[in-house]
Amino acid sequence: MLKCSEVVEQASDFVDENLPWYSSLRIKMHLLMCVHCRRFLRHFSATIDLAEPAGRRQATATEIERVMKHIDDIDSDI
Amino acid sequence: MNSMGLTTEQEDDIALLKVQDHRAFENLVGRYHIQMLAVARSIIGESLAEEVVQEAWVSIYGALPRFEQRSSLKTWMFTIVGNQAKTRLRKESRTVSMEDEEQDESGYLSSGRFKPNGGWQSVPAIWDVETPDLLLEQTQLRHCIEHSLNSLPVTQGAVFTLRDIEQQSLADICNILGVSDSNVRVLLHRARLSLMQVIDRYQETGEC
Ligand SMILES: [Zn+2]
Repeated sequence: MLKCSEVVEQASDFVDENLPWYSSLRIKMHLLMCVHCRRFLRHFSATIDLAEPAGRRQATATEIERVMKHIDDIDSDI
Repeated sequence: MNSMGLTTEQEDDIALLKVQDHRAFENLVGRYHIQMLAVARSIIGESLAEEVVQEAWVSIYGALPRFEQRSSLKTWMFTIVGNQAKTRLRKESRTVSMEDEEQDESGYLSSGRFKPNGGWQSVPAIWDVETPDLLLEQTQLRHCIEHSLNSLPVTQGAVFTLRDIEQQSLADICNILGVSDSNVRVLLHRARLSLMQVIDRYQETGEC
């Protein structure tokens, strides 16, 4: 029987579908019986899903201007 | 959607970008500058990252008319900034210390979290809400997440940004950052668990 600590160790490979089928199956069997690991994986997946909306940052106007200044310099050289 | 997973809108943008339309390019910079910095920083370090990214934007602008869409636009851009950072690193002939390896493994990867038999010693925290949408409605939590992403070790931050924010494949990430597959997987896993612990803490204390 797979240990809870092993479920945690393999969680990323499991959700990224990077495990051989039998390892993935062992995790699924464990999840059927272990409420704590079920909660862990629910939270783990939610964390990954909110990364994109929570983590995406737009550059500031100043940052964009600095890049565009370089681009304008090049364009005027041509 | 075509086979590259592009919507028509994105294809219109690419058509404009290929003729070096300034407004479209400005939008592109706004959208990706921070992520480009994360890539450069992880390869060359904080002090030269900004300079490398500025040069990469100039290269990207110049090369856009020849962009052939063999990969997605962002994969192509991340590869350019990654390559320029690696080239610069060789010129500087110095090594950037990788603090990621030394990180202490607290939380979910610490041995104290589990009993000797591998069962939970301290079980995962209970969350009041569990869906991403509801979690994101909490402004303070968003602030905590942003803060924790900014404090990740740089290579973890870059791997996490590329994978979970920009949805790049693990193979592309290895290529962009010049990091092995096993390393990318370890770094990604650590970053995800750190972020999850931020949410755990927030659920328990209401603070970061
Ligand atoms: Zn378990």
